[in-house]
Amino acid sequence: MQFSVSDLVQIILSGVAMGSIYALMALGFTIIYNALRLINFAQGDMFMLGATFGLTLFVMWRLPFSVAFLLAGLGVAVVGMIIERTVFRPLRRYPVLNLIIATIGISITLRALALIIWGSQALLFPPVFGDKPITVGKLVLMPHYLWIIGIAVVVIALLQAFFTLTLPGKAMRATAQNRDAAALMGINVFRMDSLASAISAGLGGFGGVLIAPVFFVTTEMGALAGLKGFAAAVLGGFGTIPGAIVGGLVLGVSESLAASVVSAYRDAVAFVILIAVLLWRPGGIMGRKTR
Amino acid sequence: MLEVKGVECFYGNINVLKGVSFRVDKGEIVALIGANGAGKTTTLRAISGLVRVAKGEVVYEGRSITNHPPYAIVARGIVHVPEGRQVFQELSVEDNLILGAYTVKDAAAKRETLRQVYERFPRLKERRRQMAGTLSGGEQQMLAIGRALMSRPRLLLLDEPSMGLAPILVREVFSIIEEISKTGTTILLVEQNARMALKLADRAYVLRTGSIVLSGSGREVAANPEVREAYLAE
Ligand SMILES: Nc1ncnc2c1ncn2[C@@H]1O[C@H](COP(=O)(O)OP(=O)(O)O)[C@@H](O)[C@H]1O
Ligand SMILES: [Mg+2]
Repeated sequence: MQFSVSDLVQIILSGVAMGSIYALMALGFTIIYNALRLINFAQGDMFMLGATFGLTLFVMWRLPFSVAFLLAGLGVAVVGMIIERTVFRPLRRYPVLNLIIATIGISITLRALALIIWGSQALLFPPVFGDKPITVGKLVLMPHYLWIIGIAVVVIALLQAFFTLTLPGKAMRATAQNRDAAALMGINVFRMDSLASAISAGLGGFGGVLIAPVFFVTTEMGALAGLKGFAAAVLGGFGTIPGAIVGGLVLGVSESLAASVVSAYRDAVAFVILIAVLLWRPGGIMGRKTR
Repeated sequence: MLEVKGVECFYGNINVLKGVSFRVDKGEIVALIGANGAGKTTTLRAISGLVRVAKGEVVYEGRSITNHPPYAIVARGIVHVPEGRQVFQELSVEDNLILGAYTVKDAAAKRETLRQVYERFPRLKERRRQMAGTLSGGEQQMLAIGRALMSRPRLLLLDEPSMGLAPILVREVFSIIEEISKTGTTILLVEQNARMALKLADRAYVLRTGSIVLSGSGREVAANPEVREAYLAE
């Protein structure tokens, strides 16, 4: 098989774009894990809700895409906050396994509700980022990949600024590091749980509404996205923010490269890479070298 | 200022505090001593809202704070420096201090307190950009105390501040406690180092398996034959 430079750039660009989406998902897993020591099996459904909310706001209510994008992400963040208040908080005094099982229940419930609202048909989201390729010299680039990467970079940069520059962001990190000590600083640690759940869900939601104009929207679309996001988080080093970003990008690019050779196995490739990396580095790429 | 009245606490169904009563008056240094496992840490956690009080009452400045959430108790001016320092390892020294002032809204007051804490602990200023986890044990203890001072507490609960420190640092910690007390902060001090704690304290209580068994001025308690045998190892 023969690739031109332009082909290769295309493949890497689409890999980085998908990788940015995986990174958003992986960050969602990471942030809620750090707050609640919880693997949230409903994270994929936040992605689905982002896409379906976006669809309703943009296609049915005819809001500008930028507004639909923001409202969809914020709407999913509110869903995350409601889940924390109604499910995670009451279950906190039980073993964490109970909570993890509960997230499976949340996932099933959300999919059933989504099916009632949006139906079982795959829905088309108009190509808001334009579907005509742009040419830069000899390179032919799809604009939606550039948009996805650009927006994801902004979202991640804002998240990073929140964690390192603002008092609530520092308080959230402190609570993740030492919950009792954080409480002794006067931090309302339950409010931090709520915020963590909202941010995690919102990141999933932004991922979903970003990808919606590229793929079809279905109520089941969260399942694979959730798995890939989780794989990316593990790949990078579970529980760390840089790990989630690196894991997402590595997964996206290697998947894209592999798919260009054997397109039928695109999704299997992700998990082969995951297993191979974990055999080589059990703590993930950026993980601590323990165990 | 603080009155603990017949407080009982449980871990699961193990009764670790069996009706603890004592009081701390404004401006005092009160020492709470006792063997390992006596319930000293649990007593402080009950005051600061980290463990549930099953029975009894904690009264602060005339009002009950029993089972109030920790953030509400901090807001009332009670700050607890936990056993083993518990600084935020992966945050910078300065961020640890800033979080100590989490309940303080006035930015100018915050800056001024930070300046004062740095003045008192110049080592912390030198290392303010470093991760707290990279500090030595003594420095982490200074940070834990400095962090607590950031909200200008009226009552400071100190849980074994000298634990695991070299003798010279132990003396430094005790002299810092004395200084803090002189600025008008009331102190409840839990210590394994009974000798130094009793020397510093205005009054002291001895806790044994979840009950107060002895109380008096620091000197009286230190002179008690049982205390001398059990805690001062003479
Ligand atoms: N989280 C916990 N779960 C169960 N038992 C505990 C816990 N923390 C302390 N204990 C027990 O409660 C008793 C009092 O502990 P603690 O208050 O830490 O004593 P001290 O500070 O005087 O050493 C001890 O017997 C200890 O083993
Ligand atoms: Mg103790």
